[in-house]
Amino acid sequence: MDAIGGVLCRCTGYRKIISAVIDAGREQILMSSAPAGTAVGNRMVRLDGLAKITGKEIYGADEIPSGALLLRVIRCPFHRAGFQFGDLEKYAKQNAITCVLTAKDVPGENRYGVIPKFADQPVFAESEARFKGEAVAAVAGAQAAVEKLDLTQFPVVWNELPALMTIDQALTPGAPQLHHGREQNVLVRGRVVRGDVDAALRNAEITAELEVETGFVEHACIEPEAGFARRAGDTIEIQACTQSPYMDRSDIARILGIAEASVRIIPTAVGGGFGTKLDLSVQPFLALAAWKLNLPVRMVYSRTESMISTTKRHPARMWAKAGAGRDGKLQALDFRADFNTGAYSSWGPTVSARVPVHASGPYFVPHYRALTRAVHTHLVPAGAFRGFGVPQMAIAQEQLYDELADRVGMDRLEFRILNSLTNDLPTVTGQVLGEGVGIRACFEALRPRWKAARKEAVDFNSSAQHLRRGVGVAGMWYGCGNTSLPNPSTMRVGLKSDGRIALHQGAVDIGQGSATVVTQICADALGCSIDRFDLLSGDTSITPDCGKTSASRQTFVSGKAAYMAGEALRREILRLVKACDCAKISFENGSVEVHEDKKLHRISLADLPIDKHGYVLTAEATFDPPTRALDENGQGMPYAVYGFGAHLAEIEVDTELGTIKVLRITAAHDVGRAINPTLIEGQIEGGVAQGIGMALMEEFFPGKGENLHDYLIPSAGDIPPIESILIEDPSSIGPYGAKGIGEQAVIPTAPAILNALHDAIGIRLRKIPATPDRVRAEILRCGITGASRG
Amino acid sequence: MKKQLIELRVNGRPRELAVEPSKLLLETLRQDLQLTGSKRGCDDSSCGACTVLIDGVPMLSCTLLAASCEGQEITTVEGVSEHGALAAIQKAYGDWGGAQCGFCTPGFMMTVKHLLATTANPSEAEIREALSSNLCRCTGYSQMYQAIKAAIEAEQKGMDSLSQQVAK
Ligand code: FES
Ligand code: FES
Repeated sequence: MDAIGGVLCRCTGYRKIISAVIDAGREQILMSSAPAGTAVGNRMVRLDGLAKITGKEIYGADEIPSGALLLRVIRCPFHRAGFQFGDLEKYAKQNAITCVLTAKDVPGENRYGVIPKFADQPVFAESEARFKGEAVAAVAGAQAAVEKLDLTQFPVVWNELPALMTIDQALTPGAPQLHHGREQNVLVRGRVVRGDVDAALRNAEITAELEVETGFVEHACIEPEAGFARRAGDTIEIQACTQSPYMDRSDIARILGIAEASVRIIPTAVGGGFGTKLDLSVQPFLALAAWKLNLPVRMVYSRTESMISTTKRHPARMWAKAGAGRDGKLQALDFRADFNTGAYSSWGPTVSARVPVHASGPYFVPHYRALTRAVHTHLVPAGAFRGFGVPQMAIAQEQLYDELADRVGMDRLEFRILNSLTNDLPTVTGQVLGEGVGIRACFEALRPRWKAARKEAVDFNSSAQHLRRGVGVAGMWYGCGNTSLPNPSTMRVGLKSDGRIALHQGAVDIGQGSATVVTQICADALGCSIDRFDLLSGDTSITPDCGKTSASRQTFVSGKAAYMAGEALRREILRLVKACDCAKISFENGSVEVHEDKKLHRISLADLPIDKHGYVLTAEATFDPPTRALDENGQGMPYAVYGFGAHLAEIEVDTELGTIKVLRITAAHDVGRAINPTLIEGQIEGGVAQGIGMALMEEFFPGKGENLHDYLIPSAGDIPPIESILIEDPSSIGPYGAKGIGEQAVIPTAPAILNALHDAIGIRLRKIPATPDRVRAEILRCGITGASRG
Repeated sequence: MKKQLIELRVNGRPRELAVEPSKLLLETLRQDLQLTGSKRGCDDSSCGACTVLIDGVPMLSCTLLAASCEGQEITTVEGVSEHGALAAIQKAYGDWGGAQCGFCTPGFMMTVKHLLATTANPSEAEIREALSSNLCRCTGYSQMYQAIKAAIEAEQKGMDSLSQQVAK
C-alpha cells in the first residue's frame, strides 16, 4: 500500500479527474433540442435517428435505379488455383446475359488497396486466384436472367494448387511467394525498441512468459455489402455502403483510368462497418460494368459472399515475456507477434505498425522491445477491425501482466494502478503526453466493484460444486487517428439567408453517432442552437474531405475541424459588424443579432450577397492532429492523443461443460470530454459485446461455416448487464477535450474475461476464443475438478 | 415461372400484385411494394432483420412465400407508426440508442411490438428472450432494454392520460 500511496501523491491532477467521473445515475435526461451553447456534454438524441426507426433510411441495397442490371461475381472455390476461361461469349448468349467481365475489361489498373504504396489486390484475378472467394469474373444482365444462374456452371476450369494456410507454412524457406518483392511472404515488419530489454529481463527479480494465438474474426455487419453504379456522361456515380468515400474515389479512378473528379461516391447509410467497409467490396465491379455498358448496375452480396471475400480481424500468434521488481514495478517487456494478413495487404501494414506502439499497454515500461510481422497466406485478406490488432495484442499483454502480478504477490488491480502511465512518464515511443492520461483514474474507478466482486466470487466458490466464479481486470490505451501519418479533416459551415446553418460534414456516420457529435461541437463553437442546423453529409461532390471513419478519429479529428469551422463562422459574423470577440450572437429567422456591451447590431441576412457556396457567409476549417514520424527504433510521436480504459469482468465457468457465462462487465473509460454520454455508452456496450464474442465464441475458418448460422455472434442472451463509468481527463488538442471511443471500447473486454477464467479455475488457453471444447480440454489436461480448488 | 395474381394486406391496406409463386415475402415487400424497411441480413434465417408481423406474430419474411400470406394481416416497420405519429417503441429506440447503424432496427421493432402486445409488464428475462431472436452487431443490446422500459412507461402514461380524459 505504501508504494501505491507514493504514486497517489505524485499525481497532482488526480482529484480533479476523479471528481469528473460522470455519475451515470444522475445525468439521465435526454434532450432533443438544446439552447445555444449547451449541446456539448448532454445526452442529445441522435439527429439521424428518425429515418432509422421508421424504416426510411437508405442502405446499400435499398435503392434501385430503374432499368438497373443485376451483377453477380464468379469466385474461386479453392484456397489457391490457376484457371482458364472457356467460351464466355457463348455462355453470355446462351444465358441471355448482357455482359461478362474479367480482368481484360479493366481499362485502368487492375489493382487497388487502402494504402496506395502496398496496393496489390486485383479487381479480378488474372491467372491465379490467391484465396477462396477471390473474384475472377462477373456477369451482368436483367435480374430474371442473372438471378437464376447456377454460377458453378460458369465456363472456367480450375487447377487447384497447394496453398499456404498458416503463418509457419508461409515463412518456410522455399515456400511459394504470393507477391513479388515480399521475401518469405513478409508484407511488412513493425518495431519499437526502448532501453535494453535483454539486460533488464536478465536482471529482473520476477519474470513471466506467455504464448497465445487468436483466429480470424468476422465483422458480421448485419448489412451485407451492396450498392449500384451508373454512368452520367464522363462521370461514374457509385452509391454504396462505405466507411471511406474519398479513398474509394481514388481507387475507382485508378481502376477505370479516369480522373478523380470524374468519380462521384455517394455513401448510403452503413449497416455496420467496424473497419471492413473501409476496403472496396462491390464498388469496382459495379463501376466497371456501368462504365462499360452505360447502364445502371446493382449488386448485393449474399451473407456467404460477404464472409468469404471481405476482410477479417487478423489471426495473431504472440509471445511475450515481462519482468518486474519485487516492489511490483514493471521493468521490461519483450513482445513478438506474427499476423496472418491473408492474400492481400489491405490494412496489414497498419496493424503491424500500430501494435508495437501499444504492446506495453497503458503502463510505464522502461525497457521494451516489440517486433511484429504481417505474413501473407492463401487466405481471405485480414484488414481493419475495430482496434487494428490492438485487441489481439491486449489478450497477450494483459494476461501476462496478471501472471506477473501473481508472481510478485500483488493484487492484480493494484499492480496495474502502481504501473499506470502518468502525464509525466514517457510512453514506449518516448512521448511524454503531459496531460490527459486518465488510465489510473479508470482503474481506481473499478476498485470498489473489484473488491466486492472478488469477495462475492470467493463466497460463491466456497460452496459451489461444478460452477466456479472468477473476476478479471484489463486495461487499455489506444492512439486516436492514423499512426504518424497526416489524417486531416475539413468541415464547411454556411449561414443561410433564412438564418439556418448548413454543416457540410463528410464524416461518414456508421452508426456510432458522429454526425450528431460533430454537430453538437460545431453548434456550441458557433454559439447557436443545434436545432438550427441542417446536415449535408458525406457525398464527395458536396462535402469537403473528412477522411475515413476509422481509428477512432471522427470525434477527435473531424470534431475538432467542426469546432474550428464553427468558431471561424462566428468570427466572420462579428467581423461583419466590427464587433469584438466577446460579443454575443443570437440567431433568428432571417437575421442575426450581435450584442456588444450596450450596442445591438442587427444583420438582415436577405440583404447580404450569396457566395459561391450558396450562403451569405461560409467558413471552412481543417484540422490535422500533430504527430511526428517514428525513427528506426519506433521512437517519436505516433499520436497526438490517446484514449484510456479498463474493464472488469465477472464470469461463471461450468467445469463439467466448459461453458463460460459472463455475469457482469464494468467498463471505465477516459473519454477526455463526454460530448454525448448516451452515444458513448452505446459505443462501450457495443464494444463489450464484440469483446465477449472475441473471447468466447467467434472464430472464422476460411472454407467452413461461412454463414451466420455456424459463425456465432453474441445475441441478447449472451450479454450481461454492462455498467459504464465515464471519466473526463481532457486533452487540450481535442474538441472540448474529447478523445475517441469507438475502438477503445472493444480492447479490454476479452483479456478481462480471460483473466477471470484464470481466476475462476486457474487455466490459461493457448488458443482463443475460449470455446467450451477448448476450456473443457484444458480442464481435463490440468485435472481440475469443481472441488479441487478452494 | 408464370406470375400469379395475389392480394396481400400490408399495413392495413389491400395490395394486389402479380408475383411468381416462388417469390419470397421479403423480396415482394422490398421490390414490388417498395417497402424497403424490412432488411435481408443473411441467407439462412439466422439474423431476424427481415422480421414482420403476420396476424400479429413475428415471422421471418425471408422464409415465407408471398403467395402463402394471402388473407393474413402483414405489418412491417413502415406500418408501426400509429395515425401518423411514431409508436412509443419507435420513439424510445431512437431516443435511447436502441438503434446505432439501424439496420437491425426494423426487425427488432416488430419483435418488441409483439412482446409488448402480448406481455403487459415483461421481466428482464422475458425481454432478453424476445430480443434473442434478432441479431444486432452494434449496440450490445443494452440500450434496447432502456428503450423498451421507456416505451412501456410512455404507453402507460399515455393510457393514464387517456383514462383521465375519459373520466373528465
Ligand atoms: S434475412 Fe436473416 S433471418 Fe431473414
Ligand atoms: S444497430 Fe447496427 S446492427 Fe443493430
